[in-house]
Amino acid sequence: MENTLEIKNLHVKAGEKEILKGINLVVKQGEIHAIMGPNGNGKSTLLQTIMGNPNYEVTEGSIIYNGEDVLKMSVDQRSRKGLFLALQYPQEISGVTNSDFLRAAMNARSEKPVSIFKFIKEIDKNIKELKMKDDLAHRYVNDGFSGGEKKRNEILQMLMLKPDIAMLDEIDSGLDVDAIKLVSDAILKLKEETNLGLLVVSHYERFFTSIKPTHAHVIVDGKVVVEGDSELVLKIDNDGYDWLYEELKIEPLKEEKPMVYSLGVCARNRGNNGRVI
Amino acid sequence: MAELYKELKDKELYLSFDHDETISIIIDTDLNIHYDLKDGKYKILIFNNANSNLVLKEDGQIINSNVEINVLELNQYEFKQDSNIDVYKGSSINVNTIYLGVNNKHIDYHLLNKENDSLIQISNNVVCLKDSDFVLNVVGKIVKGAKRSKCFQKSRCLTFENPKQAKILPVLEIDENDVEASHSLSSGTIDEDVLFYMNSRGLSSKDALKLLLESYLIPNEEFYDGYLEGSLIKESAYRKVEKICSI
Repeated sequence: MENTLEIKNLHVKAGEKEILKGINLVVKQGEIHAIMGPNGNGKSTLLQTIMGNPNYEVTEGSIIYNGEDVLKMSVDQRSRKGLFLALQYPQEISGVTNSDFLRAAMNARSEKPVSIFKFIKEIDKNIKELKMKDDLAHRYVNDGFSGGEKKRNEILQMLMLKPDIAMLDEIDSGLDVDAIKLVSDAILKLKEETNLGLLVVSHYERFFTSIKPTHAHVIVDGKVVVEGDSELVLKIDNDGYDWLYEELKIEPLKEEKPMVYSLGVCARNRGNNGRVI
Repeated sequence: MAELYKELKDKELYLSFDHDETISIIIDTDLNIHYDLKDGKYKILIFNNANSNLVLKEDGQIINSNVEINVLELNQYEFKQDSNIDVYKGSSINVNTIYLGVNNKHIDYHLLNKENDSLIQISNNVVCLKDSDFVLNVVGKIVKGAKRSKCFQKSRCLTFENPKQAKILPVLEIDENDVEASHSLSSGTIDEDVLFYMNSRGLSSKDALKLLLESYLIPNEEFYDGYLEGSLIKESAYRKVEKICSI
């Protein structure tokens, strides 16, 4: 059976603020969907909501996966059903090794515990493929990792857990050109092997060129305002979003940056005859 | 020549050596340990296996030696510990502890850089469960004249469901200028974002908590390495952690 994720009229708020204002999207296994749009307009919120982040509240609409109501599932159930989210900012778990973490995650989705021999063989193969450090399995999850290492570790987890539909949130940020190629190749190889479906948020055409999206969607102010395929990705990379705002007569939300508070004057220029200037 | 012995007399354990030793001490009653360790490398593993409240006291000196002391205290009973150890010229002590905060536990460490070029390192892992009353005071003191000495402290504490008290106090008293010293402490409950991350990989909240608890309470293999009773203690400690995780 082909696994399908259907999102209908999804409205989501964080705190009192509505972020998603009626998203409709259908992702089937084997498809690669590019999610684009200016910062702060709802791309990450969409992925986090699908995975069940409790910081986001669904106020209207539905998320259905293979006929089942995703919104009624806990986060871990969603994962075990075959959904995966590679985070933009992966968490550090000091004291828990990658090996213990991944084995526990793999065991959680299988009736019998995964054999140690099979696990070691699999993780070693994937570590080599992603050109990560040999001692990775024994290091604590993301603890002391560079930005690029964290992103590769997300992909390593994806390769080990073999989801049906993976959501990648700016997985390419923090990666250099060679690492982007490595990660793209690993994603495409898994897609080839398991018919993986992908929902990918990125700002860079280079990454999309590598993974070749079958569909593209642009989210502005919490709504999908235009859809297309890899041609749309290319156009946005060349022309930006301004043509879209003009054509559709819309305005993007401006990303809210944290307010910078002044703690007062801690040093003063005492020149100019002692006057404060 | 010094008299060398390992002797237990009426709750008093005397450890006096001048050559390398690896010693595991399984405690099931109140005990005072007196160290007189010279000219060697020493590894000491202390495991609380008592079925009742217990008081542990340690004192002594480390001379021209490198000493590692690992303490594993996962009991459900009240526990008190008072440790006073002096480290002399060119010697080092490396203390690694694991404490389970339940009931009422009060631990005091006073580690003294007594002479120059001495090194003290202490690393504490603590888990405080509901209603626990846990206090850990760690005082590292570098005396005047103990030049080029080093004293490093590191503690981390995971708390669950409102303990009555989970207090860790890392203190450095430094009376000499030419030294290196640091102390760090991290303490808190389980981060919601970490839990979401672990859930998103398919781990139920219960499994995720178990993994996090184990990360604090189950030491790595080096902790038991080389001890005659190491595997026995490891097995016993693991059973205690399993019991805690099933609560």
